Amino acid sequence: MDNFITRRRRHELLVAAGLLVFAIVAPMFIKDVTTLNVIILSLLFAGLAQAWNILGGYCGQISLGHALYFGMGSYVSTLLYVHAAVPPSLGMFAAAAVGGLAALLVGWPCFRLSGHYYAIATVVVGEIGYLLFLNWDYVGGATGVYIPIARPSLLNLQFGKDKLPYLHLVLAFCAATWLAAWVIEGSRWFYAWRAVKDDVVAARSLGVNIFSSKMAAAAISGAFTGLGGAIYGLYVGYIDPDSVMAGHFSILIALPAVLGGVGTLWGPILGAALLIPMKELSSSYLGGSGRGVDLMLYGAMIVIVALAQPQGVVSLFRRRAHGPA
Amino acid sequence: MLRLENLSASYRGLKALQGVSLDVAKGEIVAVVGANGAGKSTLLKSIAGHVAIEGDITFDGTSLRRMPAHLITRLGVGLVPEGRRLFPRLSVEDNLRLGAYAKRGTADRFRPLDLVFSLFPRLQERLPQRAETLSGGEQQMLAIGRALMTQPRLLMLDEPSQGIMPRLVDDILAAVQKIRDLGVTVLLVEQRLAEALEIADRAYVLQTGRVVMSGPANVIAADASVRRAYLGI
Repeated sequence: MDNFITRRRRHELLVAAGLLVFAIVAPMFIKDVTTLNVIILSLLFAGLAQAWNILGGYCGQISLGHALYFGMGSYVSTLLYVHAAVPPSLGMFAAAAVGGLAALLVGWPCFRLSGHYYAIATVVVGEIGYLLFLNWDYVGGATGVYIPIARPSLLNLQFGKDKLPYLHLVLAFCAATWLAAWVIEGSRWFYAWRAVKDDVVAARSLGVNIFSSKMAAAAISGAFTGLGGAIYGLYVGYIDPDSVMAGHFSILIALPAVLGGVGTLWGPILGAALLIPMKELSSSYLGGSGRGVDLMLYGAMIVIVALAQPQGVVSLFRRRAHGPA
Repeated sequence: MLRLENLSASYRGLKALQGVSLDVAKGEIVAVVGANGAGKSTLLKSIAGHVAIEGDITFDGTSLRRMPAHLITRLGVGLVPEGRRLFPRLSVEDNLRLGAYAKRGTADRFRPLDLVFSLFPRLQERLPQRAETLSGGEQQMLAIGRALMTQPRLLMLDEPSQGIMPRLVDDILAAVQKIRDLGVTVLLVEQRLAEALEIADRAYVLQTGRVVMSGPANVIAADASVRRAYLGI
């Protein structure tokens, strides 16, 4: 049994390494900017969804306030750059730290609630953050902040018009979140979180500290989300509360994981690979008049998945992991 | 080993326990019996730290009064909760592994596996199966096995006979006796009075949150009023 698990895990790592090499090389032959843009956003949201999955999937705490950590991440690295001349290559780690810290601060009161009540609380906290940033002049308020254009350099993580370096940056981010999830699956946290997710009473009587388990998952999840926010800010070059902190971002972050398969290693990536291209294509084809149509397509897709494959798209690709069921 | 002094607990606003005092000595099997709603489960939950209490509980001289539940488990108090509370979609193996979580980081955390398999050979056969596919009796075995993985010095069982074929009830209770013989003290809550009293050394009878009678198990079993009240004879 142990051998089977180690073999499966090594197999997963090999598949991931293969995909990574492919994802590094293949885009070098793509010249179309729109395509590259779609790939970049897909990878970014795959990483964000994986980050969400660590808390929402593995630990079962459905957060609908991740836009807060995402937005704070992009604000932290941007403002550090604008106000303190800290290069974004360092600033993004500060963003990760702030994202993780923010998740702990939110978790401290909110984890006293469970299930739906927790989810609703995170929505409210996210909205509070959004309103706060909207009316906070130091961070640009509703006008937002431009990231000053600098000479292309690795230190500033600015690459001018060249999209490929950005692609490799978000790819690294996506790979890091995947690796984090993979490490978690092999750790004792995986079991503790699973217990917290499935049955709090049982978890408690097995010696699992419920609160600190949730907090650990939240910190990791929030940190990666903050990191993703920083990278997103760099990529788009301009941030305001509507573009990085609005409530629909929380949904957008959670959705690929839910669609692809909650609490699975590949679900978030698969979900993002399906969702983001569809969203981008529908909004570019349908243009301004099509605002909202992409979201309707989302809705339709989720309904279909929920009806046909309630375990997520990922379950199409695997047989049942555990014996006859 | 375990001492409850004047323990009271409220559950959803109702007083479930009112001034219960109880002792468990090392190596004993102590049964707590009583009708539905007498406060038996609340008693175990109080000891395990799942409900707020008044009064005091000491375990090997340590007060459990303000201790969080997970630390009580790590101190050596194992609970097989009412209704088993397995992780239905996890395999038998993963359920057992989760039991060892309390001892994480220690080299011998999977040591009780041998013991669990010798008590319940069937679990070994069913290792890769999902817990939800087990029969009621096997699920109870798994729940006990999982609690043993926490390496308890005191094992508390909440109605292990619930929802199990009569033939298996004897098997389960025989296993409980073996567990005691291996050095684990047992606090057993049961509605099935006769079976529980057969394996217990001493017993407490609980009625609406109070201890109404206590003494050697055979004395309780022979008492006419208990027999009338709970055995329907």
